[in-house]
Amino acid sequence: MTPAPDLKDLLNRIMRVGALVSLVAGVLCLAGWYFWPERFYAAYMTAFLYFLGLGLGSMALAMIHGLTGGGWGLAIRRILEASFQTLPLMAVLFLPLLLGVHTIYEWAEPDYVNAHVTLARKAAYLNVPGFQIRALVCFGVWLSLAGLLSWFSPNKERDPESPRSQWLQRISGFGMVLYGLSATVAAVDWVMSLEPEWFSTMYGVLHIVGQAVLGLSFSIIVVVQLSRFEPWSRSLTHERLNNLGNMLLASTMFWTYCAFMQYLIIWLGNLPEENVWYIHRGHGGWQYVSLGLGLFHFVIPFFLLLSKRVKRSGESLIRVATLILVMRAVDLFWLVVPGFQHGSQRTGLEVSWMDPVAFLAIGGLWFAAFAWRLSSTMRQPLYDPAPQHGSQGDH
Amino acid sequence: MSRTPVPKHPLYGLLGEFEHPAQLLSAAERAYQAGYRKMNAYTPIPLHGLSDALGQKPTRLPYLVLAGGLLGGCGAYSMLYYACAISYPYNIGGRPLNSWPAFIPITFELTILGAGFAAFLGMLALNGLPHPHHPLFEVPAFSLASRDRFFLSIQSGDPQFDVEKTRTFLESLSAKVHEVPQ
Repeated sequence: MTPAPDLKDLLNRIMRVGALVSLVAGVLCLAGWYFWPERFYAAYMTAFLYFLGLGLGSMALAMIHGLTGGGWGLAIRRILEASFQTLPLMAVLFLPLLLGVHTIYEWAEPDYVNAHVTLARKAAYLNVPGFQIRALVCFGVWLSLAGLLSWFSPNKERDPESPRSQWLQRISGFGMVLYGLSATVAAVDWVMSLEPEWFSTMYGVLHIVGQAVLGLSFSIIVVVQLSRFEPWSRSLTHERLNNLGNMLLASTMFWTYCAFMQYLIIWLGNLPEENVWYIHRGHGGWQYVSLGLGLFHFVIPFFLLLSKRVKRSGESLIRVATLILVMRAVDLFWLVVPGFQHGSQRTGLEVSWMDPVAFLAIGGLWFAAFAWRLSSTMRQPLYDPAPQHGSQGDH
Repeated sequence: MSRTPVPKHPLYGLLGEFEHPAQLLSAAERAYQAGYRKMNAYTPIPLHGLSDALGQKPTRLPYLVLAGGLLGGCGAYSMLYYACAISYPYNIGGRPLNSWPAFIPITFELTILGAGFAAFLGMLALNGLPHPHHPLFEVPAFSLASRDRFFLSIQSGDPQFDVEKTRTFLESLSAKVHEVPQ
């Protein structure tokens, strides 16, 4: 099955434009890094986590599908694969953060640690070599999983009893466990430790769910766009679209649950070492971002996705998914940027020109890599839904 | 059923028996085109597109569930507000009396409970259940509806209904026709 010629043109154009945009934005980023390193790292980390989340979230969904099977996953499988095959690129793009460790993290400064007894006690974990080794292990796990999942990706055999399918299932099962652990470590090390005295046990899950929501909304948008082209037009049925919409509803609700539960527990406890995190995000303009997250990341998508009509129409589902994609960026901005504002630098909410530019720099490369991988993964069969008697569907 | 002085039709309706699902589907479509509305179909397996063929409207159940959920949620929040802010105001760690974050879990749970009750009871009510007896049970062949036959009933209450014409119509669709007494 070869991709339709006009789709190939489209993917080539995405690769060219993506690389060009990334080049220009990358030069601007370098200037930003030179003059305002701290603000640059804040913008870069937000954008980095966003596109890393796209890849990791897609990988998690592919593993869930490897465990459960189902028509919803067959419809988006090739998109998920192309998306998590961008992870090697993200490993390279992590280098600036690895090299900037002393600029980014307070706990990396011995003087600062000595002045704060909590950090001195945490130093056995929170130290630079440990940070580097853990980052290496995380990327090792993710790249190995991405490789194995691509290698054992379902091809012409549909038989769930075939050795290939069983291997995919095993890798997906163990992979989910490894992904949960490694993504938690990454969230704690890279983002939570920006405010090194603060802690929350919900934090890893919050990032993991965010990644799943991101991967799902992205693949919904792509699959609906691709349904204009030949092989995809048959593989995306209304039932599958409806299932994807239901999953988006469920994962948005789960994100809300995690985000709200962390808030509720900290709010009820009201302990000074815990509540500072929300105090920083409740003043100086950040409170409007917090409210906006509740409204646009939960209330509006939730009520829209309750309607079956919205979930069965590609166009309206794309609109909801786009809103969620945008809100994921806002959420990451809200998680990361206040963490870079320490003491007297706590200037409140301010958006820098570097925020969109960092998104363009990483995003341009990411989309180019995604288009390149998609033109390869989509040569594998897409699986049309088998003609069926009755309405059992293919759940 | 009806309390009008018009004498009841001696028949509940006619029941067409089909051997194949495709026959039933096309029969339902043809009957709808012929103007029949008071009809129903009975099959041993779910048939895709049967509801559309019969011209059935989408169920109103989702609106009932939404109403039940909203009622549960609003009820829960009002109850909590009444308990904590009006009936027994108590300063807990300096928090406001109307501590909305603490009220959310119970509000959420009662939303689900209300929606669940509305779904269950609404499903029974809209289906007219429980319904211990139905005229179709008088037709011995109807027990095959849970085995290997597909049935289409056209009720005598339909304005288009006429015993002879409807019987000829059903037979023209290659159905075996049974009379269903009231």
